[in-house]
Amino acid sequence: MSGWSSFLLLDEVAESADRCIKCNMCNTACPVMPATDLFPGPKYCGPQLQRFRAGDPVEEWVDYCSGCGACTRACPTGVMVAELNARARARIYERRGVPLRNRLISSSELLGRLGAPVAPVANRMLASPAARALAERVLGIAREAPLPRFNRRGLRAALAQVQQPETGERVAYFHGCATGYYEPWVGVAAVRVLNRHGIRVEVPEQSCCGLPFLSNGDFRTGRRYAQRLVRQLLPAVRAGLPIVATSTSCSFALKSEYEHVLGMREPEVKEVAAATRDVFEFLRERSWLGELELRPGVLHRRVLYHGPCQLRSHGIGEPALEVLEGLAGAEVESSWVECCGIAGTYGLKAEKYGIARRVGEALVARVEELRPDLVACDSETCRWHIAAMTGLPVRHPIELLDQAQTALEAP
Amino acid sequence: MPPQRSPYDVVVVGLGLAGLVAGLVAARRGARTLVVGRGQGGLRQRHGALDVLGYHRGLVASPERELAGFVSERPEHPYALTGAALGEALELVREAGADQGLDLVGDLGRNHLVATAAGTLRPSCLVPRTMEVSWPGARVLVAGLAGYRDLWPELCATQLPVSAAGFDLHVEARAVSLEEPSPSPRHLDGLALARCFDRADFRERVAVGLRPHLDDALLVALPAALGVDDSGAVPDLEARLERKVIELPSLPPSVPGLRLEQALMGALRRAGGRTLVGPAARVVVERGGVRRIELASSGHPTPLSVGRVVLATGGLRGGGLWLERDGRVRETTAGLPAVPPQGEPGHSFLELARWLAPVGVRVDQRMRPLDEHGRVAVEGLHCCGGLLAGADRAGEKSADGVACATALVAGREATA
Ligand SMILES: Cc1cc2nc3c(=O)[nH]c(=O)nc-3n(C[C@H](O)[C@H](O)[C@H](O)COP(=O)(O)OP(=O)(O)OC[C@H]3O[C@@H](n4cnc5c(N)ncnc54)[C@H](O)[C@@H]3O)c2cc1C
Ligand code: SF4
Ligand code: SF4
Repeated sequence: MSGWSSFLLLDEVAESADRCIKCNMCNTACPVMPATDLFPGPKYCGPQLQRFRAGDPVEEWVDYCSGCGACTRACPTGVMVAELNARARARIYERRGVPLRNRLISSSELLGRLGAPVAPVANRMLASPAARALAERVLGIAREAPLPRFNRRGLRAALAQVQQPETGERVAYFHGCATGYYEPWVGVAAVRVLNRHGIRVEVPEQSCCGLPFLSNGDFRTGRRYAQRLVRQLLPAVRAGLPIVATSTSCSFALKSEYEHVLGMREPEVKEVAAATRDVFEFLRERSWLGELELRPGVLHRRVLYHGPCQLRSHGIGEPALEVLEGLAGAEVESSWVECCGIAGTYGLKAEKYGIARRVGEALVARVEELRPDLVACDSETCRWHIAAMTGLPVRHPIELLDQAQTALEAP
Repeated sequence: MPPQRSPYDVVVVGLGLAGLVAGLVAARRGARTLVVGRGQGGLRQRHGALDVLGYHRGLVASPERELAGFVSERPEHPYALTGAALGEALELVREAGADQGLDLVGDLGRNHLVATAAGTLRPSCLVPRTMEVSWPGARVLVAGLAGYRDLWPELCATQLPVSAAGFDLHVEARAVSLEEPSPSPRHLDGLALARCFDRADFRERVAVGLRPHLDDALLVALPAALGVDDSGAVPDLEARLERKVIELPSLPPSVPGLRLEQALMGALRRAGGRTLVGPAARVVVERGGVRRIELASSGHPTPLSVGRVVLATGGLRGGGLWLERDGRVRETTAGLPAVPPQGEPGHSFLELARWLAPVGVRVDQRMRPLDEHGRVAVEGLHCCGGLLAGADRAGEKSADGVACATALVAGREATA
């Protein structure tokens, strides 16, 4: 978590290791530790091993950290455990070379672009058990792991159909790759909701945030993407526009990981971080300020809301839950579960898929206990994983809000 | 910062015992309540029993009878301010625990002696059922498990009769180490072991291993890790062994502490309160009153306008207080005046700990912080728990009683 001290220290993250008092809170919070014997846990991998990282890294096991961030959130003394782990992983791959598999599953943008024109064929291929078995053997991508479906029509094409208001406050929408290429309807819902509250949405030219490269140990590529995205978003920020995002993992990269994982200390990075809001954080903030009246909506559904691990790391609570709870007819419960297991691209890997499933058992148990009609979750890979684990429909909360508000609009 | 509509009536800072109790009280009184903490609170570090007053001129048999004399000698002690709140607070925790399936026994009338993994007996007041023992004439089988090193059964069994003799009790103890079932080739901590005990097949294998050693033992003592939530595992083991089974608290992470934390969090959520684990909070004070709270969220702070604030940020260990090199004590979250240590630090660790023990924030009967002249330092703010000055928690064994009683008052005052 970034503190006010961050401006004073040279490397807040590395130095945070010295604040460790060995209290084990991080270990009690880590969802991966109980799911495998291959991972020694956050205390050991983070602050403890940090002391020995001056020379060549020797560890392999830190790669079993999913990057869910539960340890950093649980630590009472402010050790940035997950960030230390991410950096250690990058050093291993720096020496060994990043495997093709990791590079491939990181390339959500490239794949989305390549897949779009041939979407039907590509989707049929990805659905074929033989192709998946081959991908597992050759590439190490788990055959059961949930993958998105390619979409022939991207977000820009979909948004061309939306009639935006002529006047009103402007925001810049950062949609991320999943909405840009695989699930444009999430972006459409976000724009419709914002429009309904008198807010105009601009969609600046934007590339991938690079987060998948960060969590797959390829910092060189990750930094390239990060620098490009900061350049792309900066004009909007300097024009005073908030950056509003629907992917909580990508927006966490902008808010925190560029600085704390990649070590980017440029003032531009901080400017973008300070302007970035999750879409529900934005709506909640504006309504707290009395600048926006949240429109009513009706949703006669029982919803289990799962706040994804990266959202938890924003340190803003669960704004989507707070907004959904206000809908007439909706019965909304929080999962109170730290992580669904997939943690971005972690669970796609053949050697980690089983761990991701075991971590996900807590969420599955919560689904069985509450028997909701559907699950709401702000992060795309989580949605795909939860849908595969539970067989339930899983929606971005902004889709539900849009649907609920639409239901009350005059036909 | 432009004015905001208040999203919360009460924000409690700190997720330890004090913060959770204050939040529960406020939420049950209908306030929209947020309990936020930088990291998890101290409960996962503690033994999961509630100490109220263990020592005052020797062992305290009944906190209830001792308290009047105790506070007349220590007018600066938080107990001198809380009155009847202590008993009510313990009852609140007991009832909230029971509602969430956690069985706590005891009341202010008498202290229990809780056995630890080191073979000591410590006085505590409200204790998990799994630590409640009638000691006179007890014959204990202390059982260790391969793979779990934080209970060394020989040490515990040797020490326990000696500790008991110190309280004029006759206790016998034997040790056994089970090689089977070795739950894991690695060193397990308490939480990992507790997850093993959540499985019936593991409990059965432990029972099979223990049966030949039971003999005339009346009690079987195992690490305080018998299931992550104690509802099923202990009765099941007792049935399999036909003996009372007790838990011996050991090094953190503490499973009984975690159970208490989870029970209080569950009760808090059920009462409509929200919890947020992660960001540090800062209280912005202007003109002697709380202006707002700022959460150190990622990227940019989250400002919260708020009716009342409860500070339950703990003492030097919890991070609510900070000791400067020059010996001054700083209150970290709202910049409140704090009572510094008095006299000389001494030389040993124990002397140092005793020197630092009473530091903290001085409060009035409504848990409002006071300045050095005894005037309310900041309006709209109430303090509780380890943050408060005037208690030697470790020496008196009073940390939990002080936390609950002051939290109850703070939670009420914040919603008054
Ligand atoms: C890490 C740790 C280890 C401990 N170890 C032991 C032990 O081994 N034995 C023992 O007897 N007692 C221990 N204690 C102390 C014991 O828990 C307390 O004395 C007692 O329980 C008082 O409880 P409390 O609720 O007042 O405070 P605590 O349980 O200390 O909780 C205070 C919480 O507030 C948080 N906090 C502080 N400042 C801020 C801020 N500005 N914003 C947000 N959050 C903030 C802290 O991170 C902490 O989580 C420990 C406490 C902690 C936090
Ligand atoms: S929670 Fe923080 S202080 Fe405690 S062991 Fe983990 S890193 Fe260290
Ligand atoms: S980031 Fe998550 S998986 Fe990695 S050590 Fe921390 S808690 Fe465990």
